[in-house]
Amino acid sequence: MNRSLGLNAALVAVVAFFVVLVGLPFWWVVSGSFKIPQEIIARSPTMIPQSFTLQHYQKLFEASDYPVYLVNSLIVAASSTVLTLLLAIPAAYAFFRLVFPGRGILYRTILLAYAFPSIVVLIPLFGLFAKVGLVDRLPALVIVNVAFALPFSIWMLRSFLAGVPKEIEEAAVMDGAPTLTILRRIMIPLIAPGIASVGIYAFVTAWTEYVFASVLILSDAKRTLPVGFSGIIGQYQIDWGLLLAGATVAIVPVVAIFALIGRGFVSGLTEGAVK
Amino acid sequence: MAELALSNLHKSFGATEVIRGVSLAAHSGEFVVFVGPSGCGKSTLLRMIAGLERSDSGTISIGGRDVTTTDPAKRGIAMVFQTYALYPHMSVAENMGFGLEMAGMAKAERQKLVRQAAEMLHLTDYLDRKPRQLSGGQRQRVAIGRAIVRNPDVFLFDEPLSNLDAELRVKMRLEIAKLHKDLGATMVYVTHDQVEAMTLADKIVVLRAGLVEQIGSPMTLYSDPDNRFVAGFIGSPRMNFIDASVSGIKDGALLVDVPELGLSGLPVRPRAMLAKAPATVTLGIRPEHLSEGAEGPFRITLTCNAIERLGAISYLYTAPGDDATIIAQLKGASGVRVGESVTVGIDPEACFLFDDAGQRI
Repeated sequence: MNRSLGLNAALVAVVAFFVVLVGLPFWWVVSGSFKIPQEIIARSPTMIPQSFTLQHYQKLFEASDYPVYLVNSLIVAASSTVLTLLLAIPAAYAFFRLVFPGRGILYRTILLAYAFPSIVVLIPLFGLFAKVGLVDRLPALVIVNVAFALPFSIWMLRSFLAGVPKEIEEAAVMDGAPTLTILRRIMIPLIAPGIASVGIYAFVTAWTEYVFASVLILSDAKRTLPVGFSGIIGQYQIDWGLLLAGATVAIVPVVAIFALIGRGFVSGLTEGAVK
Repeated sequence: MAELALSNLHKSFGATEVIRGVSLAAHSGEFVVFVGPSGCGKSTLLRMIAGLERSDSGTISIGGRDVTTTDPAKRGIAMVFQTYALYPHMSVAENMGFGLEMAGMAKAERQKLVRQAAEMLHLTDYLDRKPRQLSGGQRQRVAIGRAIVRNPDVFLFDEPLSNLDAELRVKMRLEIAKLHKDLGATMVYVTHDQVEAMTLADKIVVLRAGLVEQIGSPMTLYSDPDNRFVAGFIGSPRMNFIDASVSGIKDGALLVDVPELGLSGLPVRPRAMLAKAPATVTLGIRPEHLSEGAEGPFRITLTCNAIERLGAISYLYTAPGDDATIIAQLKGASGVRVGESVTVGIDPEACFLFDDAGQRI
């Protein structure tokens, strides 16, 4: 394809604009976390740090409850992700493959649950969890996160399953593979990109969930990052350095999971199967 | 190796009945080909034998065992799909050995059988490759290998060559014929390509709209079709059908007139003696039986409207694109040009007659 120089320059300019738009706040947070307090609040802001200090990180890990929140968040997000995948994969396969009475209605009901605003069920859920003794316990957050991530996850995995040619499954049936073996040995490897996407979605949703974590968790020692971290903002003054360092550390697991699972986004996985 | 018998099979999808009472039998080691136009039910019938579709009524038996409701994997069959249907994340060896693994066979034994099949199909060098690293022909061979290792009683092929290019198709066709000879297994093969049907089959089953039109050897279907549909379906280009009238009976032959071709008193022998000759019939004659320059009393003159020269032979069309066109096969690269006329001879012995319902007379 031949493009004129002008068009190329325009495209580069547009891409550059969005890179700056998205990247600038990140750069501000990450670079700011290494600046000394005076530079952070300097009247004329510096894009390139003039100073370097680890004092905010030291304070974050030694003088605050941040490590506790971090561990709590990791437990909740990781458990939610694993549980979401464990439930969504067989559910999606069942909706996709098995024919049972009420399948269509059940599937639409699940999608409806996704469209339901979560805030509406906050108070009833609190009452329910209080009755079964789950208030102020991390499993409560895992249950809530999984419940809200499942509809979208099932819907997404189902469409990935639908992308696998029917003959591959039929060949496995002819080869004598039972349904669960077909799911485990044939379908799951083939929808790995979909599983990776759903895994990232479930992790990020759980990692950033605020409303339920702020209501269902009462004691400070069980808070997750978003809630616990907001407590770092004091009533009368804000420790900007601490805040920026905390925000930087909070980004790390998400970046790590993208780097790790992102490899699962291999396109053309079914290439060579048919045709 | 086992015989296959279908008895009065029916299958509907919703309100549409796609298989309407099919019965047939294949001897042990026989190569049976299902042919028919799109939507005739040939693939559905194959999938019913495979167990991928349940039959509404009727029975399927393999080797004398009723397998109508048996699981696909326990029927003693293996299937080769049109789209190969290989497992893309598994190597060639894993693809071929998966069925054996599912059957609980030990790894060493499995590897031995896979290796044997790979040698037979010239796939030994590719055993560690993934399907995406193979050419179309190699992929189809892996799909066949996957069927062979299971040592089935019956092989099922669902249009296995239609995704290959013309040259490879001819090559694979010969390989499948050789495979049938080497293995001696019963094979059922679905195709819409009549060259495949004619060259591979011991027995051809012609299907139309869920019903069997005729079963027979390729040459039987070619030289003795039961009806106009089979006569038109077998043979390429298709048989010419010309509306005609009957003027009388002489020595057991019907005397056929076609005024617009200047043909009268053509004595065509019916299949069986008739008590009463019908007034109107359809005369059927194959393009290869209209011979240019033939001597004899029955000759017609055709005006060339299109000509296709294939080198060894040429096809002349009187009205291309029209169902009523007459096609004649001429020798060599014919010099006939559009607008010119050619006189061809008709051999009454090579003619067929059909009644108004399309049944052979």
